[in-house]
Amino acid sequence: MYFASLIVLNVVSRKVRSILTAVAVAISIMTVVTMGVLTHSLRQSAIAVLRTGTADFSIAQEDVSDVIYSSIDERSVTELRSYSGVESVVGVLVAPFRLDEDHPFFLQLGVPPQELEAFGVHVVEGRAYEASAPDEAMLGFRAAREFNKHVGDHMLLDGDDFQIVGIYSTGQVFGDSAAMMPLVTLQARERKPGTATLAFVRTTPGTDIQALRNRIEQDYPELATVRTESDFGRVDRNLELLSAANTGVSGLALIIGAVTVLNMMVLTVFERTREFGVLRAIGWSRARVLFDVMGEALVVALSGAALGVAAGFVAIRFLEDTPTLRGLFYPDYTTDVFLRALLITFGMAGFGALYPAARAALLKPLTAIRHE
Amino acid sequence: MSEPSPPPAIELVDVTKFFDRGLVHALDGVSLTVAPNEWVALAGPSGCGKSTLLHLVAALDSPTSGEILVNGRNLHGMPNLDRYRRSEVGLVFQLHNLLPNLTAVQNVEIAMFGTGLRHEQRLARARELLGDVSLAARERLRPPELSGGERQRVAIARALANGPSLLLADEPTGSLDSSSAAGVLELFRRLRAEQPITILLVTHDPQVAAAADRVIQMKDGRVVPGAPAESVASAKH
Repeated sequence: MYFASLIVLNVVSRKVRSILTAVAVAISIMTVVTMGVLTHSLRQSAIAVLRTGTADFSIAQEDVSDVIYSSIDERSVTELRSYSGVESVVGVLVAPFRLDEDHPFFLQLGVPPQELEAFGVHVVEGRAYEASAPDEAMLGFRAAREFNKHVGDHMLLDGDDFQIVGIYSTGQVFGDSAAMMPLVTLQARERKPGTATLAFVRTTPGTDIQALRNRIEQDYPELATVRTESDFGRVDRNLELLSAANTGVSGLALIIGAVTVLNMMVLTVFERTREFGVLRAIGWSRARVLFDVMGEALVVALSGAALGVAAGFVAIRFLEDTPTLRGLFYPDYTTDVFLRALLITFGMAGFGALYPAARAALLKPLTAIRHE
Repeated sequence: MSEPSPPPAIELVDVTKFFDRGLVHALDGVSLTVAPNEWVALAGPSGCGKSTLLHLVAALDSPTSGEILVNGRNLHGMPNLDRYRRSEVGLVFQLHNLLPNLTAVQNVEIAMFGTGLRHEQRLARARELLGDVSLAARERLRPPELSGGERQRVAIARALANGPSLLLADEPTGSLDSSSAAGVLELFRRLRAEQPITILLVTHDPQVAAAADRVIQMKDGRVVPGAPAESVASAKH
């Protein structure tokens, strides 16, 4: 018999307790995985909006609750074009609307047709819309596929009829799942004349991007530049709150899991006191007893974690089909989320089993053997 | 020039053990010697200190004062008592104290954890020992499926797992019927005949004590010198 087999056997011999503990751990880990994937995916979706196109960095209004609510004066966009080191600045208006029950968050992007190329938009079928056409739009290839629309077809966008004159690709899921129309058209429909949601800046080769960003932020204190994921919190408070909640949930999951494991292991050690006394009497070291108890906790916690990860996948599938998140939430299963879940599992087992394991290891053999 | 004689297997020098802040004198100035390969029975009424003495020799407890030497080495200050219990001492309890969810062979194997033996070696050794105690055919059974005598024989096999020089048995027949008890004593006899091993056996049963080479009678925490049981046993051998 291997030492590890003995540990597993001990877990199996207390089936009900082990299963209940594993289920508690599973629920905690499921929450960690679900929240982790949800937060990360929403963040990625939002960042994808900012990264649509081929810009070196984006500009948004600072400290808005959601980046979609950002508002930039078009005059600022024009002024920025004259900055040294700036190759192009594209002002884009983003307007979400509820298309139907399955698409509660459909994006319309307003972009001047002459700036489509600078924005990184490739027309893959048909043509670009005219600059001032009030009823022409293009569909991202994902959206076209989703709605089975082709060039020449018509589509209702937020109550208005548009002719689909082209199909485009941006290389970003979010952009490719949206509709695009002239900036002035969308500004008029949204009653936001002279306003953009975001500005996408492309620099000339050799430009010190950081210095340029600093200068822009100095000249326009109401604006924030975004280049990396870590910058994102400055322009989207909601996601920052969600990230903080995710961290909080992870901490809570760790505490709940650890207490559950602690409860199980305290009971186990109490029940096995006599056994530990015998094992110490026949020569087991304190360290071996410690590893035995810690190992048992780890086996239960890891079993629960495996169950929790599986349940997490199911929960994410469920969330994916939730109408309020459809179109906004594309699950992104990163290793970070699973590493965090694994780390929390080890934490649950470690913190939960430390006290009972130490208690078992420090038992005096003779006292333990006499334990009733 | 003659070779120096080996040290005693067990030597107790003026050993005391007090409990309850000195109110209870479990052992009170005990001195005794057990020769290598000798079988000694510690006899006496309940509470006379015989089990306490056995526990001290097994390093399960430490004396209040005095010295305990095993094979010439003082237990006091021995750096690794776990290793001592694992490799030099085999312990048999009145209740078998086997792990109920392990099979007979696994119960023997777990005594060899930490000895450096690989799994296959441990398994082979455990099977060999179960064969020695006539339980080869019962190796896959768990303690609840074995009779009282069989459980005690598994416990003896476990005690012998690491080839100890000292077998310490605390009332090993105390919970057995007379037939099973006779079987266990026969096993001890056979063990002694087949390998060099010193046996210190605690019993309150004169018939069990009589199976030993020598009986040390104890009373009120002291060795009773020249007690009848001791002379009977000595005369027998």
